[in-house]
This record gives sequence, C-alpha cells and structure tokens, in this order.
Amino acid sequence: MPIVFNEVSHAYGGNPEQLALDHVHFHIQDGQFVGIIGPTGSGKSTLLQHFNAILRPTDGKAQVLDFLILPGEKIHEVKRLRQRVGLVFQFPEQQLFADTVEHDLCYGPMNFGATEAEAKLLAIAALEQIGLSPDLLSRSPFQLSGGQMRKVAIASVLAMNPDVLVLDEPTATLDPRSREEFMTLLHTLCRTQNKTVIVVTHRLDEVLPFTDQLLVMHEGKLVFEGSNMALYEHAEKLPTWRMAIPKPFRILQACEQMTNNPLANHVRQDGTRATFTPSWVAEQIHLLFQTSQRDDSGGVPCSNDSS
Amino acid sequence: MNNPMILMEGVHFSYRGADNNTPILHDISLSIHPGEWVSIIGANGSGKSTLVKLFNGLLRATQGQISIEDTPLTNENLYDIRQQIGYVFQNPENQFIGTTVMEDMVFGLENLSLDHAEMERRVNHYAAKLNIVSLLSKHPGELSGGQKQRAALAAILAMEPRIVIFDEATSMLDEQSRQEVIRIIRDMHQSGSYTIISITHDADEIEASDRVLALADGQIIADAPPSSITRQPDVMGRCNLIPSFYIRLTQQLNISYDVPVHHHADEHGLLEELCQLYSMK
Repeated sequence: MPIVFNEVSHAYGGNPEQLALDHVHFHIQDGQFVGIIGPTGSGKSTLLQHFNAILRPTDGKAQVLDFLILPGEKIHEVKRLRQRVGLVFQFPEQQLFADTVEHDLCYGPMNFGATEAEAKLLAIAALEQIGLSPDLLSRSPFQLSGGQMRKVAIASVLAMNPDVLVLDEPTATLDPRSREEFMTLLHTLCRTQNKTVIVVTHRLDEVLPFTDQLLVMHEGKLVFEGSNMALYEHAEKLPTWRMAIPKPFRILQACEQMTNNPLANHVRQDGTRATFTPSWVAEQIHLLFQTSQRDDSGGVPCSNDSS
Repeated sequence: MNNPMILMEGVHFSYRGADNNTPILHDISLSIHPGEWVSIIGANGSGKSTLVKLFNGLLRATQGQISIEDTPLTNENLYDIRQQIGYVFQNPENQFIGTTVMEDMVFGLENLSLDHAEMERRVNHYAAKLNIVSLLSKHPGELSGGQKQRAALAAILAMEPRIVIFDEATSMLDEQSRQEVIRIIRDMHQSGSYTIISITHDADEIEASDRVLALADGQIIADAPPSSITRQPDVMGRCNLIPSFYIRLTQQLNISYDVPVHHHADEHGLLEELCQLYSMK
C-alpha cells in the first residue's frame, strides 16, 4: 500500500494564517527509498509526524498504508499504525528510558504482543542489524557513548519490524564511517525486505547515493518532487530554498560547461539511478570528456591561469 | 614559549561501576597552548567527550594530573576554573535556561556576581558580535537551529571564558548555519583571545583548525596539523573518517579511467586540472 498525501496542511494551534505545512501533495510507492530534504524550519519534522498520525492534517487527507488520516478524526487502531510505521526522532537517544539496553529494545515488541523470549530474539537481531554487539544488552543505555545510544534507539524501532521506517536526521551525531554504514543498512533493509524508508535530512549529499525519490520542503511547501537527476537539473534553485548545492552537482555542472556537453544526453539513456557517488561522478566525467564534440576554435579557457 | 593553557599528565579515566575494567581514557598526556584551535577527532565511543569533560571537571580523572594555566584542578578550585571554560553542546536546546535569549545571557552573568552596568555592557556587546540583537526578546523555541546555536554561544562568550569547547556544535545544523558557526569560530580564533577545542567529524572544521588530536581506544594516536592527518589513511580509518569527496573522486578518476589528475583536496584545484587536461585532449 502506498503513501498518498492529498493537499495536506497543518496549522499549529489551528491558526490558518501560519501553516507549518501548506497543501502538501505527493505519492510514495512501496519499497521506495525517499529523502525529504530542506533547511531547519522548512516543515520537514511536521511532515514526518503525519506518517504515523502523531499529528493529523488540519486540512486535506493522508493515506498511509491502509489507514486514512483525516482532520479532526480519531484513527481506528492507531497502535497498529504505529507498529507498521516506525518513527525515529531527531534525538533518538531521548527515546531511551530503561535500565538496560535489553529492556529498552524489548519494550516495543512486548507492547505489541510479543512474549519475553520472542522480544529478546528480536532485540538481538535488531542490535546485529545495526552493527552492535549483543554484549551491550546488559549495559545501561546511559553509559553508552552518544553514537552508540543513537544506534540503540534506532534498533529499538527496528525490533518492531515496521513496514515503513521514517527517520528524522538519523545520522547527525554519528561519525562519518558509521553514517555511511547506517545509510547503507537502511538501503539494504529497503531493497531486501521491501521496507519503505523515508529519511528526513538537511544533508542532501548523504542521501543521494540511495534515494529513488526526493522531496524538497521550503517554508512549509513541497517545492520539488522527483529523482536525483531531476533535482540535479534544477540545482540552481537549491540556494533559493536555503540549501547549498552539493559538491558532486557542482563538479558535474562545471564539467558540463567545460565540455559543452549536457550530462542528460548520456545518463537518461541507460535508465540507471544517478547516485552521485565519487565513482559515479568519475564515470560521468569520463563520459563527458569522451563524447564531447570539441570545436577547433582554440579550446576552453581555464580560469585564472595565465602561464 | 607560553605556558600551556591546558596540561594533562598521565591521565586515566574509567566510569565507576563499569562492569569491565577497560578504561575510557588511558595514559593521556598533552599540552594545549593559549590561542590554539585544536580539533579532537575519533570514532563514536573513542573517548572524545570524556576527554574534554575532564578539562572543566565535569568528570574527574581516576589517575593523573590536569592543570589549567598552571593551576592543578582540585575539588576546591573547580568552580573558579569552570568559569574560565565555556562549553558549547551539540544540541543548543540542552543549554537554554531562560525564557528569552536575554534572560539566558543574564543568567550566566548573575552567577558571576557582576554589577548591573557590566552585565548590560556584556549582553549588548556579545549580542551585537553574534548578530542576535533582534532575537534578545524571543523565546529560544522561536529560533532556527543556527540562531539557537549563536544565542547559546553569545551566552557563553558573555562570561568571557579563556577556553571554549565546542562539542560537535555544528553537527545538528543545516549547511548554511554550519558555515555560519564555523565563520564565528574562525573570528574567535583570529581575535587571539580564546583557546578553542572542537570535537568534530566535520572536514571543513578540521581543516580550519591549527592542530588535530586523534583519539582511538582511549589513547591519542596522532597529534599533527590537519593537512598531515588527512594524508594518514590509518589514522583516518581508526577515527572512522572518510576522505573528502574531492579526494575520493580524484582516486576514482585515476584508477578507473586513467585520468591523470593529482590528488586535490578542493574543488577549484581539481577543476583547474581537469580543464587543462580537457584542453589538451
């Protein structure tokens, strides 16, 4: 079942003058990896709280799996919705509360009907998925490092085996290697278990290698919806949405200009996903160089080099 | 040669009651000089935050000695020494106390028992410096991430500390706010009035600092300028750092496509070289 937002608005305190979400309209297919990006205050976090009905639209309607979320109406079986849509907050370590990692990880599954033994198995599996040793089970979550706490909090959501995983800036405090590993893990969950993964982030370059679909939020509005390549072609708009143009975009734009050879002519033909990783970018630069038709008028001026 | 601002000699630390006996920090000795900007890098759990919390006595060493400006840290002088050390948290939400930005700034100053005129001078001076004058009457909740971090920093600088510790202070910020905070740290550094310690994974922040201390398994594994650290793959690997996008792109161009560009750490250098190659094609 897909996720469909139909003209969803949200006004905090019911004030229609100040819309935190302003007629947001999009469609997410099952098993997609989706990046929701935008600067601080663009409405990303408000949007994501609609995915499991922590917030409900004040106007419009949201369809999440087989749940219809409407303004002012209570949702039947909200508990089942929240089991199927796992939400990881911006400060997941604040979700921790128990005396041991094991109790923290087992709390969710047991709440949703698992026995203690079943919950423990789920807990161990979730820890392994996230790359932590089961030795941590007996430790207090509050004696772990910041990064480890974050991983445990994320594992506590994975232990509930949700169909949709929604994560708010999940990698902010992780070191770069753990960040890359974590995003790869999410991508694997998405591809091998057909889970829908929605990552809310301001780090566009971090999600680009994985995303099937990008949604860009700006001042409560959805200002862009499309593929990585489509966003690349609208890159000049990013600064107007208060975001920096990512490094791979900048390099490729410069190489397109240098070779007077539009990238779109090449990448669209083979239909693969544009990942903007270093190896993908290197391949495109090679392609641009190989296929460009140089005129003989003396080549391209290279900047500020007079020698 | 100046006396060190921070001196650690043979410092060990382990959490009391930890079930295993592996110390979080093991035999750390270091000295940091006045006016230096030092980046502390390391994987999650390597002991970075623990190390800086020893500087201001938030944690106490289980063994070894720590001195701030030649004064050994003791239970008696802890409070005085803490006033010399500002601590900027990762999440600025963690340090707001007042209901307005102004109140928050004043709260710290009241603790220093300053007179009214001096408090006013400092609030005005540092609010102007960090460009938050128009935010003084706002509730911290009304501010954006970057504004919050600037407000938190203004409250800290108003206490006129000698040492300012940034504990992953840019990691929660969006790109624009992150650049803004790095600019502020640069200005502080240039003023020469502060010794700056920043725990970070951010390549731009590391590049901008004078010196990098790399921590792994509770020990210092490297102490060198940033340009030298990024050329040591073993140190980068143990600190869970990844080479910058440009370095990885250059490697790919070399290895996979025989494009003979040199290793460039920045966009400008790489593009310049690609352009030369292209015009010779």
